[in-house]
Amino acid sequence: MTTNTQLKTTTTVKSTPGLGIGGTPSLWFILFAIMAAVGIYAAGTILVQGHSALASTNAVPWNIFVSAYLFFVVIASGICIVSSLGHLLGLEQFETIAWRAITHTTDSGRRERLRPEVIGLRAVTLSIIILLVGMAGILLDIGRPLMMINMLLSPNLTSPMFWMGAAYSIYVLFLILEFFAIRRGDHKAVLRWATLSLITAFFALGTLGALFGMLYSKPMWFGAFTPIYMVATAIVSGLAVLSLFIIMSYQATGSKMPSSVAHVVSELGKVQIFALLGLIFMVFWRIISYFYGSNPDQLMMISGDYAFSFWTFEVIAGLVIPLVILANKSTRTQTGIIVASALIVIGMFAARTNFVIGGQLIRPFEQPIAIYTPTTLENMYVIGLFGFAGVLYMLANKYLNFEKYEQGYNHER
Amino acid sequence: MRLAMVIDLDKCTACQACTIACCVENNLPKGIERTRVYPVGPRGKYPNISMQLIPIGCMQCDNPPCVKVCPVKATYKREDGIVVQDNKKCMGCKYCMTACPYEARSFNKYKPFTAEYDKLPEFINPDVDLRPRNTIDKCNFCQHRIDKGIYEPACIRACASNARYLGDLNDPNSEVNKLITGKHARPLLPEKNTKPKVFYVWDK
Repeated sequence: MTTNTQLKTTTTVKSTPGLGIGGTPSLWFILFAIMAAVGIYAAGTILVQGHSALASTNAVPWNIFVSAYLFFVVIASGICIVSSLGHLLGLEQFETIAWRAITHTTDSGRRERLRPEVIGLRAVTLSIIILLVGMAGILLDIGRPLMMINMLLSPNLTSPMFWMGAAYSIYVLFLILEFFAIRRGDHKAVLRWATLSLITAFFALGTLGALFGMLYSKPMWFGAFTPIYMVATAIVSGLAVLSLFIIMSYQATGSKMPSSVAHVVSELGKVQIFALLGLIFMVFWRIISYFYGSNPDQLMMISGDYAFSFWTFEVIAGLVIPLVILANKSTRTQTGIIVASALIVIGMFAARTNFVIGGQLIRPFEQPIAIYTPTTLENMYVIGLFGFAGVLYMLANKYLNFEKYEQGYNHER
Repeated sequence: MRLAMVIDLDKCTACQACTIACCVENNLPKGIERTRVYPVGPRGKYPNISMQLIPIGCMQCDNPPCVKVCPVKATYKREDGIVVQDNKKCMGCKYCMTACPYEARSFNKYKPFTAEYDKLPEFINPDVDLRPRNTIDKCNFCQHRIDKGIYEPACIRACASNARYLGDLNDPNSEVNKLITGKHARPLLPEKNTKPKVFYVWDK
């Protein structure tokens, strides 16, 4: 039903950059709209039937919605970190610190300083959208969402979940303020809100890591390592999603990518190599610790039920192949970056599922490992979350026109 | 007063009378058991083989991880040491369930009662509220009975072999303290440092 209304609005607008060339909506938009419709159907069914429609049990209380939430909000924080660094490093005051040496040749043949903040509007909008999609994901895992008001009425300061909720609420506020500052062209305000949202993004990622890392009942989650792991995965997945959306967006709309953006994308690809190396270092030593520990849950990950997902998706597709593609200069083209980023996103989704679901499966008192398989409704809602992200992004691009903003960015200044 | 329970596994026959009595006493809906019997083992190789059935419920920890992580203070420790759940506040985030090392908490997925039950109100215990849907349920040593001065939860009342004991840990002459010192009753998973107040007489 939503598909029809959205299609109708698009047909009234000629030349819609976000939704397709000419008056017809692009195949991408139709695909995302169908996915979103599937998600809305699943959400409605779950809301009517209640949690009896979900596969979560007393042994595995958190279902695939929590892993999807983790997946999306970490990407949102990662995009913010990447783009805030762009704002901060791109502005005059920070010129001397870094990126100064990075120049590029413009379309007119003039050499000028690289301005990473050219992608700022797109990055901040994308971050807000993905954060909201992630929150939509967790909402259906909460039994009584209306009772979340008690987080304000009787907050428990020792609960990592309270701090996570507070951090992400403040974070989305700063992102929205940054968004309006960019729209106004108020560079001083952009710098202020970008700094604050960068600090909040790190704090939020820390609390998100603490949400899992402070539970000594779950050995796979517990430890000071978890918040650090969150930051590392945030940077990797944020870089991947940002480059993926920029390149795909230009290709889908058929508009020419300005050299400033092309250079930023290429720089993002180079930064991604180091981010991936850092993450591979962490995952490598985690795997080694699993071989030494050989606890039931660790064996399940490296040689048991989760081994296929872990090795194929999380390690090889999500980390090794993208590193090979990006580190090789001949394959670090725009197509190469698309392939590498898509693989990273797929690997990261598998990593989130392995982490959230796999971490809960160990049971006390020598009980056998618990089992969790998502129901069709749960899978449909997760597909719908991707659809929401796609539809919201394309609608945002229709009204905000990121391509035009980025093409005109250097001429304005 | 620090209420504690001792379960004598030498006496326990794993008949599940405690499970059923608890469900009836506390108006528990479908799929929820506050106390249940877990099989541990079999260990060893025939003919030297052993197996133990242990009734598990909330351990009423002195250092409860669930209370630390609940974002809305819906679960808290009372002055007598019982960890109780306030389902007027609970938002059903299930964080306490992931934090509990004993799997003591259950998530209530279903509406309180079916239509058949509504026709038979005599089966509902008026002392206990119906359990609201999409919240957490846990053992509270039959809080409503203790508040009335009856220090005998439904599981103890129903236990056919008198394997369960409730008493005050602060009173050196209480039966639970005698069992802890005399029969070496000990808590489960003490290495988690949750300081559980349910002790097991377990010789095997």
